[in-house]
Amino acid sequence: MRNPPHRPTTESPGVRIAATLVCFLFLGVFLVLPLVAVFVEAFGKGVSAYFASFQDPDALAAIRLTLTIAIIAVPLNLVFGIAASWAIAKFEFKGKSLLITLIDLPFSVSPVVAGLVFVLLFGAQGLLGPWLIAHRIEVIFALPGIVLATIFVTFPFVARELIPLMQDQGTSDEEAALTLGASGFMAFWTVTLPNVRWALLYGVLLCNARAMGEFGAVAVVSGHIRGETNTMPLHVEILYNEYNFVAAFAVASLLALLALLTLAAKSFLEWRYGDAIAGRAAH
Amino acid sequence: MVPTRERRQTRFRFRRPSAIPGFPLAFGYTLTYLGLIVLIPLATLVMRASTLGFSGLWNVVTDERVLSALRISFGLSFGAAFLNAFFGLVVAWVLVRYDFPGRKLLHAAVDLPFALPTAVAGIALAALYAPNGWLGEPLSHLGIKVAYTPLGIFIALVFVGLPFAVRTVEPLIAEIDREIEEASATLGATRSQTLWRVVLPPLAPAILTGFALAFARAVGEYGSVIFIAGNIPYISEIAPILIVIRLEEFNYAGATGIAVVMLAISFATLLVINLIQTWSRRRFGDA
Amino acid sequence: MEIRVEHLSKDFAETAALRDVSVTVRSGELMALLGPSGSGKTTLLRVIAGLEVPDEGRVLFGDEDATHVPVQNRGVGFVFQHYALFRHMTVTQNISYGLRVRRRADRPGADEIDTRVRSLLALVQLEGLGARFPAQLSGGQRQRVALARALAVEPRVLLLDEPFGALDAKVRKDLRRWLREIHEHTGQTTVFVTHDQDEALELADRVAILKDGRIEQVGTPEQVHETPATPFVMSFIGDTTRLPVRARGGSLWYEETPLSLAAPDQGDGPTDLYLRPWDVAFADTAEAGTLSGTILTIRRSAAGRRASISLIPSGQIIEVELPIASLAAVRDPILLRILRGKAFPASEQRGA
Repeated sequence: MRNPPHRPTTESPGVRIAATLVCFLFLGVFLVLPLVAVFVEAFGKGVSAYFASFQDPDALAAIRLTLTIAIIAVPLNLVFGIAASWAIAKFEFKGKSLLITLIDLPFSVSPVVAGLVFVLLFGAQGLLGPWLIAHRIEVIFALPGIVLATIFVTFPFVARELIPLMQDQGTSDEEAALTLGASGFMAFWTVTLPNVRWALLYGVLLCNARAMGEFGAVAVVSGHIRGETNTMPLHVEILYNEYNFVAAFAVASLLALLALLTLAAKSFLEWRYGDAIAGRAAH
Repeated sequence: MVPTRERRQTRFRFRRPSAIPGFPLAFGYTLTYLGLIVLIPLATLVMRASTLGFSGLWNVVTDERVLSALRISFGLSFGAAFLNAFFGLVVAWVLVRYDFPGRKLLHAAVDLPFALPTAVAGIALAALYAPNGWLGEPLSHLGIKVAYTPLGIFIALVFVGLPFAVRTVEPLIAEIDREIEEASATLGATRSQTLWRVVLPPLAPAILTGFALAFARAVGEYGSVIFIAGNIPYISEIAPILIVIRLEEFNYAGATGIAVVMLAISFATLLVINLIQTWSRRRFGDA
Repeated sequence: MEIRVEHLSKDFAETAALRDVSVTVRSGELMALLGPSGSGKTTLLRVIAGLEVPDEGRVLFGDEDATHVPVQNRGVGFVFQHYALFRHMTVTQNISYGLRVRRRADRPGADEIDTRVRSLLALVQLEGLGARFPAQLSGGQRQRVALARALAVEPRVLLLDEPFGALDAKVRKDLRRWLREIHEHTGQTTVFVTHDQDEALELADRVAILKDGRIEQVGTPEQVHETPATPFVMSFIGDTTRLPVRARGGSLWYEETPLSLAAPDQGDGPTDLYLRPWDVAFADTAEAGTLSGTILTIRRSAAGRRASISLIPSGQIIEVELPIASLAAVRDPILLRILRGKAFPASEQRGA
């Protein structure tokens, strides 16, 4: 009892060290090791083999397609996120919590099911299939289908970052702007948007990472046509299944890099603008 | 004056009037977009399933291979979510409470499964746990086979669910008032009594929510699983893969049947999460 | 239980430091630790409780050296500033917590726990609210639950950190009186921290005044009010004006006016004279020892009226309580006589 006791609000040093080791081991095995494996495998046959993987026109087509999808899907979900959070955070109406639940719904739907619903809607056997064929409009196994599936799975990202934050901020800023003679649009542009800009950027980053990396939903609707409907993740799959591991991991390393950049930007935003991002319950 | 106001209060009103403009546009756009992208497509699935009829659906779902795939999916997802709930709590506690070199880096790394495309995670895990992989080889000497077995699926599901388990409890641990723990200590409780009786109970709803989110994510997971699973029917074939296989066979009825079951599970999980949160709000005053 | 604190020092980043603090809390006494924020009063309380370990010095409970006894075994009841109630437990569960976490051998039976909770609920006047959760109580009720919880373990000493800080003025007054009654009823050795001098003077048997981690004075409310040991105590307890004067030949002079006040023993030289608003009276005629001035402002407070008076010709401003019948108005010239005051050798930095 002579020993000065450790602070009463923490565990004994032994427990602390053990728990920290468990934390390192668990995260190390489950998170860090796979990430390291991607880059090690990609450079396994040397740097030239790595860069040779990007000479393949199909790889370049996959990169182009992935960028195209993100450029279409992310802005659409951004506009939706702003509209939804404006309606939900600035107004009181019946059924609001149901609406929030519905917006979150795509998060809990399997990506494969997400892809399937579009096949059932637009596929040859689908509800609108015969009409689309008659008018020679391609949705499934083509760009529109892939974009739709991507929008579905990335649907809630921007909205769910903005809604809690804008609910916390209330309506007094906007009301102040209105009393000073601002139009509704001006109030939004000059007061609301600056208040939420970092959360918005945060949501866009996450949305973009998922849009570029989506696999399951896109796999179902794409048809895996090389050079045409293959996104980067799908191209990784094809290369891997062909035992072309260096090329598979090389393309994968680009996606992993995107993930790392996203995480870095996310950590920076949290560190620098933590208060400006956090609503009551972010995740 | 007074009677009008009273009448106004009793009359059903969809929206409380507000000086702020833009509601019809924002709300209308939200509903339209939500309907077109999410609700109508999901409704199509349910409609399609209903054309199968109850017996048709029953036949699809009670197919031996489907049943075993559902069992594998739900069983392994449950296990993975359980493991994540436990280790997620430890990880969150360590990240919030202890200071050590590399803490910030680990903190950022927790979100990796959110950001890393599932296919990339899938091939990385497959490479790691393959019989000649960094982890697969030492494990195979111990007689443990990971790749192409349910254990491989389990590992992939732990990977994808991890951030949910950590991120739901982390902010609550950060919010715990140290005074609470001090109060417990002044009343004579040992540290483990304090943790068990005072710290843990308020975290329970968050732990459950994290568990449910990790479970929901794991049940639907596809990309990170298919490479490591080997997809052997009755052994390592999960429900989402079976949907894809049925689609490739142009067996839309089969695919739809499995999908509807999975969708129902998604809804049920969402409902459970909402119930947990309502309950905890009522009990503790806030979320 | 007598509590002695001997030569306590503590230095660290997050909380206010303590520097060689020694004080004795007598058995059965109600003592206030009074000081501005950052004075170390809460740190002192937490060291007594065992929530902080001192760098140097000892804490004695009676004759037992408790310095390194863990908080769990120290037998203190601690009421936290924000109550720290366990929000997932009912009022009853909160109060009985300290009994339920005891080892089986020391744990009272369920019936006894029940009886004790009941009597505590009665003591803190919360009968019938045992099944509520903290979120369903008002601030004053939570405060009382926190007190009952601390008393349930039959502590050797009761420690309260800013017990009324988070309550509104009316509730605070009621609880103050009620805490005094409880103390008289239980006879429990009690130490509480406050920054509110009224609270300390009204409630405590003795007051310890802290500043910058040191004890300035320990005494009864009467002593610290009437015979403050330092200028800080004088100015912290009640309103004061400092008048720069000079000691010359055994008496005090304000500029060229002799004040009929004896100088302190320190000999001739610059001296600070501290005045309460009622230490100054109005004079009708100019004579030896009267000062002249002009009324700058008059303020009404709940207790009376206060005038700020600018002395002629120095411009020095002093605060004076106006007599009830006074008809004095702003800008009136006025004559003043200093009746009493407390003189200390002039502090280093002269100024405001």
